[in-house]
Amino acid sequence: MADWESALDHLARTRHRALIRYAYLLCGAVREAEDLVQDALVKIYARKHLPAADDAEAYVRRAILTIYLDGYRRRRRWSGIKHLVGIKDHQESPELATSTQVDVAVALDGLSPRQRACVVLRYFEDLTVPQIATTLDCAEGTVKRHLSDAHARLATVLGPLHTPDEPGPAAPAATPSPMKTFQPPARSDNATPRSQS
Amino acid sequence: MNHELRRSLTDLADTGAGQVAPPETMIRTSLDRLTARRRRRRPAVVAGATAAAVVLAGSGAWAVQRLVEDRVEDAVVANVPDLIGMPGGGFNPRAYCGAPESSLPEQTATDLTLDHVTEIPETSPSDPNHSRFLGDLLLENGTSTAHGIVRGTYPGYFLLEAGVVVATPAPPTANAPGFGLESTPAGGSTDVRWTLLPCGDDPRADIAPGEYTAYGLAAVQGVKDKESYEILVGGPWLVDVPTIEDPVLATADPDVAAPWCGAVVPDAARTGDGSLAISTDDLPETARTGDLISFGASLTNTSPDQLVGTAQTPVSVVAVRDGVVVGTQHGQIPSTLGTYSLDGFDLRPWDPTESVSMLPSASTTTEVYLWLEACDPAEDGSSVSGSPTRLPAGDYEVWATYDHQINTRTPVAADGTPGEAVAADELVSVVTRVGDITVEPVPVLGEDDAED
Repeated sequence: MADWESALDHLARTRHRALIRYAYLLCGAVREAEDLVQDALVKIYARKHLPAADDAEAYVRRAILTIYLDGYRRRRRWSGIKHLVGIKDHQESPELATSTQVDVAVALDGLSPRQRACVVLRYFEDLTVPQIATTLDCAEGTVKRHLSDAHARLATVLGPLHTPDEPGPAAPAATPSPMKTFQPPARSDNATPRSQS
Repeated sequence: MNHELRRSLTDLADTGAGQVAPPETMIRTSLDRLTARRRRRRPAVVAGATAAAVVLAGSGAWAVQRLVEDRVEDAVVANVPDLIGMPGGGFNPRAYCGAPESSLPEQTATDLTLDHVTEIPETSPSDPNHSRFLGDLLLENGTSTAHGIVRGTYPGYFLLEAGVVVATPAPPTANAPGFGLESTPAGGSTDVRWTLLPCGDDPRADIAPGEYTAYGLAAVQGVKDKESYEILVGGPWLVDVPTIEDPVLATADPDVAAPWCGAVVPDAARTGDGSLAISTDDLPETARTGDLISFGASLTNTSPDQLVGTAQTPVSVVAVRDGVVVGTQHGQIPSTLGTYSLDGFDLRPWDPTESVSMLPSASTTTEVYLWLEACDPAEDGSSVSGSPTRLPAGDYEVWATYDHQINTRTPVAADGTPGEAVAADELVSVVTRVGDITVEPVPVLGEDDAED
């Protein structure tokens, strides 16, 4: 067995579950998580210069994240709240064991890919905001915005979140913004009153 | 009790991981893919190439793909130092359109190479507009220090036919996103995101099927110091542009509802109980297949009540043919459109966290996005993966869908006097046809226009 084959075999056998867990949280589906991990392994071990054994997992995790984000940039996922459909999908999925897990899965599906990546990196991988910014090659403020937006969206499904030590942006003002009210168009002299139409 | 997110993610990850097969299958498949890939790479030296250029040659045809920049016409040439004696300074690969092969820039960097690597992706993402390319540019750093692709420039391919340049990398843009200066460590390699645009008046035209000679081009920083740049040139490689086939459009699926792929639209517009309507005056009559078009859509309160509630979904507009949703929903708005972030669709004023009130006959307008790509039910309504995705040319209906949660209704008399507010818990689903559109084909570079 060649060196690269031994290296891939060793990494995949010893870290398979850890990589799948990470990929699964990113994409939300078992089969897709397996594809992500496999594509990442192929990407890293296809290179002429293999990473050092101690660094290999970090390279593969980085590739999982990149493939996930690049894939969604091209496939154009629907962002926004689709929980009415999402609930149906996840309730029929044999993968999820509890209703809480269904709620979490549905909540994650409501995030954009970058918001979801930030949440996974922050609360599952336990990276700091600066580390996430480096991983995603973006500014720390951008990461904070993603986390803040993700919190708001997750909270609409899961309720208030308990996330100690969250270095998010400043708390919103206590006074809620006034509700927007849309008025009908101004009525001209020739307009017919509604009750007579 | 507040939701403990960390614990929930861990539980969810454990459940997901518990469903996967043992690693043996993944290992075997990965090794097979890598073995096949390594068999196709045969390092060789071609007469005339520079000493630092590595040429890849293999058996069988290679396919060529493009990564599209949606707003090429808005591209601004970045103030990159003049590396190759271009008049007026600045590096603009578009100036090579129509130039002979001998005029292409030569590599100035040493111990850095640009490779063209091929792999057959099993779950390849879709390319909305152009030919499919099976391959990547790979920067290999044989120096003793880290190097990176220059921020503000795009690495890319030159394509030549009969010794003349017919397609080039996209021109560099100021504040180019994405590339940054992704550093490649000493002894390391990095996949390079690349661009390729056909020459001619229409940079979004297709490249005609056939065989081409390809060169890779990139500008790299850090060879000597951070202020200087070096050119990398890889190739020549033989590549083959395939013919784009129309995708198979989705068929009716009774288990899904619009705007999802395969949904059957109602015979007449459905507007819940008639409280809300969606309409537009801005839908263009024609558009090019694969395009993302935007227009204003208005939501109108057609009930006699003042309605207070929240948006539950964005307004989705999709292409429909023969009563079936065959077009994909938009998901992300390219940053070049300016108004929206790359990651999401701004629902304002239809923000699901923000309550809005609409008096009778009131309207509010939002920008909606129609993507003229075919959807694939297997991809959950997004564009077809692994194959060309553009909608076939022809006529389509455009349908809009929207869900609104009504929380309060207040009857309003003809003279405008409000009655007593009544609490409500109504989910109003609007599914309505907003117009028709004729989808035009993408022109092919180099093909003569046919006479009708």
